Amino acid sequence: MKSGVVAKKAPTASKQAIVYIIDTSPSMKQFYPPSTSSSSKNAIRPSDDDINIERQPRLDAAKEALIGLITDLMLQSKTNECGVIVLHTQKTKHHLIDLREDDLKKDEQEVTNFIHLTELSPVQRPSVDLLRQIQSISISSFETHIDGTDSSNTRMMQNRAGGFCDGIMLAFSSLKRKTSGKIYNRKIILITDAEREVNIHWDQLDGTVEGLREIECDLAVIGLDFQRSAEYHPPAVLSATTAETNATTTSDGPPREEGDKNDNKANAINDQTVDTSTEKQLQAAMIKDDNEMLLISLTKYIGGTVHAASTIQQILKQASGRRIPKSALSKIELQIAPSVTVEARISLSTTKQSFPSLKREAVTLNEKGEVEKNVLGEIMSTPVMNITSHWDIDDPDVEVELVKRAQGYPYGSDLIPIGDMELEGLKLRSVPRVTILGFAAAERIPMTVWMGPTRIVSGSVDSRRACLAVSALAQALYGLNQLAICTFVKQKDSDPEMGILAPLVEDQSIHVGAEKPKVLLYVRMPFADDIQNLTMNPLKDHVRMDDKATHVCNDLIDAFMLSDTELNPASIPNPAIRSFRKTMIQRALDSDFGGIVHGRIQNSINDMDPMRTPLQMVEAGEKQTKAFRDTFALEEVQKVGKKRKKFFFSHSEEDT
Amino acid sequence: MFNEAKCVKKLSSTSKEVEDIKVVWIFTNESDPSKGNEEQQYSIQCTAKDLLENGIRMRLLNLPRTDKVRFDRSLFYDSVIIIDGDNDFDENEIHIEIQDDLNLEGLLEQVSEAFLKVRKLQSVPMYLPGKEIPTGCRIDTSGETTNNPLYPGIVINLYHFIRIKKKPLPTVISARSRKRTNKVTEILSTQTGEIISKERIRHYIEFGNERVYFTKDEVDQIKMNSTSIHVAPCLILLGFKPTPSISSIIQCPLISRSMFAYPDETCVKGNRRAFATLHASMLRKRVMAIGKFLFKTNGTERFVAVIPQEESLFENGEQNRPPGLIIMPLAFEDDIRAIPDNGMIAADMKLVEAAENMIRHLNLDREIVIGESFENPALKTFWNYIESVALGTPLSETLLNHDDTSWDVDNILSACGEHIDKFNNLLPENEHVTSKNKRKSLSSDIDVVDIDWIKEFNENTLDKLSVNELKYYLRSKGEPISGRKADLIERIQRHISVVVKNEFASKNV
Repeated sequence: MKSGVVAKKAPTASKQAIVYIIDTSPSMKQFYPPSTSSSSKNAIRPSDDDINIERQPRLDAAKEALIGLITDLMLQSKTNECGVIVLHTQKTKHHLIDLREDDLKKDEQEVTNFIHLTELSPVQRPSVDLLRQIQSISISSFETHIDGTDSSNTRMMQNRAGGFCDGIMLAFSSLKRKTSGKIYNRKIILITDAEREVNIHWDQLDGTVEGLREIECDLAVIGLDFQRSAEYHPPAVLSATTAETNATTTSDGPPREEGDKNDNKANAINDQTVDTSTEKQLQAAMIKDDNEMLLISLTKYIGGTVHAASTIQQILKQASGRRIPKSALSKIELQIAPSVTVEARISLSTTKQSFPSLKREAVTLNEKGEVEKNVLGEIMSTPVMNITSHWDIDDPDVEVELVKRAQGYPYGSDLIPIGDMELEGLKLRSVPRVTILGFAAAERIPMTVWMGPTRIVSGSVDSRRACLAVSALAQALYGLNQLAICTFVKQKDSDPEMGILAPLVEDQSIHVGAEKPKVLLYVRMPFADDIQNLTMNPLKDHVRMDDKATHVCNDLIDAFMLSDTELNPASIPNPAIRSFRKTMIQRALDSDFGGIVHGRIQNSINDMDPMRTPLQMVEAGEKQTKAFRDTFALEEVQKVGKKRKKFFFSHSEEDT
Repeated sequence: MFNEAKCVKKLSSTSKEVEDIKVVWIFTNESDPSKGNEEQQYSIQCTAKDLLENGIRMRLLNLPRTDKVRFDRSLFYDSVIIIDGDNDFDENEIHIEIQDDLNLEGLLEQVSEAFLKVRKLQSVPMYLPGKEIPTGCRIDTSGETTNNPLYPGIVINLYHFIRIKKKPLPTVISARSRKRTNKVTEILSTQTGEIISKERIRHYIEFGNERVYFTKDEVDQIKMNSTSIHVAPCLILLGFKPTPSISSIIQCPLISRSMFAYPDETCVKGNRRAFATLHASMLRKRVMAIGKFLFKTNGTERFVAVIPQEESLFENGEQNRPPGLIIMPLAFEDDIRAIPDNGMIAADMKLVEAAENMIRHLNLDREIVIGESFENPALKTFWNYIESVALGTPLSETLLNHDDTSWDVDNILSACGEHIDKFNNLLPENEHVTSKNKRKSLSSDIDVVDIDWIKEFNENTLDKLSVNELKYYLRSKGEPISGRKADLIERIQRHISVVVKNEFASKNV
């Protein structure tokens, strides 16, 4: 019931441009999440102890997460765009270089930068085909030796090519190409285990960091089996970057950052000692550790996060964050009182989501009634439309032509013809407007008459006068515990609706009062005629205060008292919509799939259905529930014969 | 009287005329319409039965008698009424008692109230949190077996407090006969123009440039599979939370109208006591329940806040708010929208104080009565007009002039004009803040492009200029900048030709 939900701020741009980078290094073959036993760490196969935990290779987990992230982006908005870069691929194909394997061998002495990278898609609107391409990503088969025994330095550089540093630089270039000078929310999401050495071209990397800061692009690193997590919002001051990076460029190895622990925004967790049983493992652990530090350092100066994700759900949750769609801001006049009118904006703060409406098309059927396909195996379809004809009710064979039709409105059993011009004349002329009629104590407007969806009224960003007026009104209403009664004309000349304006109090300030309300919440209420005359017999006659039954009810309530965080609907997705989306995605990816994917989390030890009472509470409250049932023995009344019908005015009528 | 009532059946039982609720109103002060004549009584009963079988209701309004003898309703019913089942009277039945003096206004009011009587939406069982598994329902995730599978749950009747009245949708009628037309809708191929049979229609949704096919049955199946409650609608309480204060309730993510719940003693014995005791405990402990609610079998379950409402009375003893539970649908995560970040400026204390003074003096606490105040002006105007057309009478001035949803400026200014002025004066002047988005409009009055437009026009080389340059010109002249390049050029040509003509004309003068 708490409105933590509404306290989140929307980003400035609604359109997103995200470049995803996925690592396909050989280390991504390892199973994920890692085994809990130390002996099985970094093992290719899961141990018997972990047989109950669903595990898969890191790359498969990364692909699954990546598909989830992209589909989520697609569902958020059709205008969102994304690009995908694959690291450590055999071929090199992206907008900077397009080399085939042969060219690579020929030019390997010269080319060491941006090779072994594949750009699956430039920054553009994602398609199902891109998802299929991601599904088909595999570990590169050209694994090179990285033990440093090769003679030439270039060979070593080649071995390290296609690393995440190159990937980030390529992603920056891709983003800049597409979104430069345009309003976007930019982000780079890197999914890697960082267990491979990488080439670092410091000059280029410095330029990239500066460039990413300039275009306000965040970097989110999803670290598979990482030891640390960190978050940097906003990014650190760039002058420090130069100093530190300069300091660490003296060696070939990745930089070590010492200042992280002192940074109060860095949240280092789970510092564990690395198993040093073998030299090879030690070397691998050192590489990973150094890479982690490098990524944390990059994130610090670009701005963003490093997540040590241990499950796919965590990857999805942490990479995409909480998705809160924005509503369009409509321009309205806010009439506070006669002669006090300001420019304001109104936008939806809740809206009941439903399944998307299905479109129609006509297919061709063969003699057997099967859908015909063309030579490419595609369904042959044709767009359709509805055509409506009107026929005389007295003479069913005579069509009533358009010129002989009119619109009629019922008055008793008669239909009164009313023309469009007459309807225009009946409209109440008004611009989109909220008019405050007066004020009333909050208790005077019972909750039963509040109607969703709710809207937010804020001052126009261009008008300081409007912002101050709305803010002052919100603070005054909050201080006096009052509501403003108003009318709202949604569109020009549309019928007005009644409503209330209330101060929108943000989450923590409800009790603390630290933050003052600055905007108003509009809640619709009914007109006089819309309210039904509901009268019920008093209930208090059936309650005895000293009754045992009262204690039973009190105990029941005490046993099932939930905390603020438990069963908070605003943080639980609608299972039906989730199921529909999952089914749609599955069907898009696999045309043979005709089933339905469940959206509800099934009962298991860790993933409990969010729409039920916590199991511990159920067990603890069993006694109280039983006591309630025993105290209030309910007995179904057996119905004999038909239900009574009452036909006369002096009798109330009931449905048969 | 009853013979005349047959006409209603003739007209409406099979007629395709627009149907109202078919009712025969009986206004009489005669308790025994057959006056003891058995044959006539039989005839009346047959007619009444016939009417009822055809869905025609009968309403009785007993009028006062001049001889001061009270109208004997039971006698009237015995003569006419046909009741199936037992003859128990509902304790909430509405009695219209017309006393000796016939007050028409009072009668109309009573009739209106009778029409406004709320009918329950449906009865559903309400289950407690815990392992209780409802009869006819199951909770799939618990996997627990119930201790008492026959426990029926507290059966509640659900009511809507609010029914939004809207303008009726227009019906297409024949202008000649003023009767509605028979509408026939067919599906047509937009490519070939052929009529398409329903078997050939497929439904799909576009996702990532591809079509994903669904049948409507599959969509229903998804809904069914996504709910943990199967078979029958019900309300399951999942736990309790403190009832938030009014200031925090208003933030709760509402998505639709609330419903009202009251126990139904006719289905389950002991309902009312269980409900009333739980209701009283919730009020005393200041808690509300969080529940999940399936309203209809093929719907989807939703979270609801179940808030106890205490009975409140008017000063005259009449009920203001009935006692019961308010069932308020809550938004899922998917339903929540972000707060816009514009206009987030905190006002200073002086301005807030001025606003507080204004609020105090514009208080409507005494004036407003929920359910009586604020009539819908649009509906009033609409029906007033329809009535005047239908009856051929002039528009009702009273209805037109009375609108309590608009300002009574004189009253407001006399009540708090001083405070409104003070608030207004403390607000800054309406100076527009420059923002990036306004860059274009700010530069609109300056022709920043160094181009000799007349020369370009004369040499017919406007098409060699870029769209941005063309738009600069149009913007500087206050012309629209939408459309393709050719449209822009045409607009510029038109504008320049007018300018050239004017210049020529002025020179000649």
